[in-house]
Amino acid sequence: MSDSTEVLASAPTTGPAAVAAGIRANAGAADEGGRGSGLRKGIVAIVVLVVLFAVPFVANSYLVFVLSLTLVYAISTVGFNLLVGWSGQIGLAHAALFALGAYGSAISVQHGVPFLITIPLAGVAAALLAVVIGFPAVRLKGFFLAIATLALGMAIVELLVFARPITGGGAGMNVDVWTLPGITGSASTYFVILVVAALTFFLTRRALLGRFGRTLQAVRDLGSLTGSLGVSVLRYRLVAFGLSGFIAAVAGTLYSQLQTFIFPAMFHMNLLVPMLVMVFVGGAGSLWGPLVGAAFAVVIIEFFQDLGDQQAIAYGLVLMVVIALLPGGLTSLFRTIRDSRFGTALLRRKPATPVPGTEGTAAPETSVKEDA
Amino acid sequence: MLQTIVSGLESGSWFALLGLAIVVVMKAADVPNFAMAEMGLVATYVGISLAAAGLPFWITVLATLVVGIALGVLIDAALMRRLSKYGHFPLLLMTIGLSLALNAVVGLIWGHDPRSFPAPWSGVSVSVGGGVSVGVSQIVSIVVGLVGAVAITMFFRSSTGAQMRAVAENRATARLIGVSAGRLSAIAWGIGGLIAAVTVMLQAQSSLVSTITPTSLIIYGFVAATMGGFTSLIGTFVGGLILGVIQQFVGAYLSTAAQFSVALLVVFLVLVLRPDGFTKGVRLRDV
Repeated sequence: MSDSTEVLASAPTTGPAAVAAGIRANAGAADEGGRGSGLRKGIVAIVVLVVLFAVPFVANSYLVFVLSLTLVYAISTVGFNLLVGWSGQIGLAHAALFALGAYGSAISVQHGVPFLITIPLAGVAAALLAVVIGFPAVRLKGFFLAIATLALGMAIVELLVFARPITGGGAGMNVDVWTLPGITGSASTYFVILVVAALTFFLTRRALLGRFGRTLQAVRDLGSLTGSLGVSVLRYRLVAFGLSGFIAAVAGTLYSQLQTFIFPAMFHMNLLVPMLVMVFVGGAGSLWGPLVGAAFAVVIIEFFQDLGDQQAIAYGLVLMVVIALLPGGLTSLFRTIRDSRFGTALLRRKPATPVPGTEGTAAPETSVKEDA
Repeated sequence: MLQTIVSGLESGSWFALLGLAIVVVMKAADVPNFAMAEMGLVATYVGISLAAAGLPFWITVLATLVVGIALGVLIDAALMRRLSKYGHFPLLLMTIGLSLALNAVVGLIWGHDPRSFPAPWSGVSVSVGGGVSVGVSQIVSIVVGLVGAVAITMFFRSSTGAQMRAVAENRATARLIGVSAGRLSAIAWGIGGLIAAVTVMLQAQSSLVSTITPTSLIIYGFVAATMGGFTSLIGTFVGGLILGVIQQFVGAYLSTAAQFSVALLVVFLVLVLRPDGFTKGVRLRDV
């Protein structure tokens, strides 16, 4: 919005000093803009949260279930997106870590551990396992990493079948549902999921917008070159694995509560593929992508549920169309629209906000030309 | 014992061939094709339908191969090529979406019942001393696998194959010296579709195929490709054969439920110990 003022301010000076001033001024403007829209975003977030909290009181149980499922997938996708989008590692053990959370929580609850405590416990366990799984990341890149982690993830799910005495084997196991006092089952689960989802989004957003997220991106884009900046590539890659594993397991614990019955076949490719779809359709490496992607996937799944083979065709086709038309994901569409509207708004607003000390409205236009 | 080895070599040939198809596409077009087995399945089902309509066996084989090639070229031209500039992730997802859609299309048209591709020699077996008898279809699988591997290796020695290797090595430089990357990726996809059609057809003439066949076949194909480091054709072929034999032995002496896990373990060990494929450094590189 105030880009033109910066350009004007730095116009009289020349040389590197001008560049530095420009950068400084731009940084300030960005921060200011960020803070302004941050406040607006905060208000929007609170309004959305309040609306979401009111849902169980007005909507039927099916809608509550669909919303819960969307939020659980959104949480899981936040973790997956952190790994795939922000750190650039295609680690495909996410469904297995999700399963670990679901089973870990269900088994612990059976042995008398309060459910709410199993959320962080399962998260930490999965984070440790994810770091172990991610260890090949030291040596492997791209598809090799994808296949190694895919193999390990599938092996973990296979193990769940073999560990029949604890997990019930392929037949699955019942989950003891924990409820808030005085609230019915599905609504209670929904509230827990909503709180965890809000926390996850808030914390991840803070982490990714700050130093951590930028370093992750640098490691993703520059690879071992960041070592020369004193950033340990290995550490950041493993931290990304651990964090994504933690979030996956947290989502898994909630998923088990939501489904009330879990079996290993739930966590095979038929879960991993939608997870990839959610990351991708939402937009890999974006902040709000996971929510959009999860909503998209759940709507598609629910919408085509009764169609059998046609569901799979529709699912495959929708996936293909979205990828073909929007290789940057759905959020890239929003960004494109916003940027273009923002751009026109910027041009229209310039004459209306003349900079103090300049006369006439022609100046900003010339400065834009210089800028270009 | 011998029986187990032959069965292992038979299924190993399928894995090896599919692995080779994956590697060929990977080399030229830089796409890990998760829809490879489904492409073969579609082609094979077309062949089965033609055979059911009364066409002679060899005509249906030819038709199956043509459908495989056409499918590969079509997918490349219509879907893959314009995505290639967006990096690996969209391509990977596109093949996943494609595999879902193709599988469902097959289920919708032909149903989910297992089918076979009856060949003149299906069900015939020859005894090879010691009271062991080997099915002719098993021998056909192994021989065709071997011939296919040799043919693909020869192809990469040819001029087109050399161009393909050049593109795989460095796309930009290859284009600068006048190599058409687009034409090569179409050729690679055509070859990939051809091999995939052969693979599924081999499986169908020996046992049964259905819409659940591709799921396991593609994973074993990727295991074989991984063992070759996604570049070595010999490594992929030998890797596929070894995988098939290991798998049959695990199935015979341990449990059939463990077959899958053992295959996964093999991948992981290969990737951690020798990420470039287990034959890397064993053979001399031709410069």
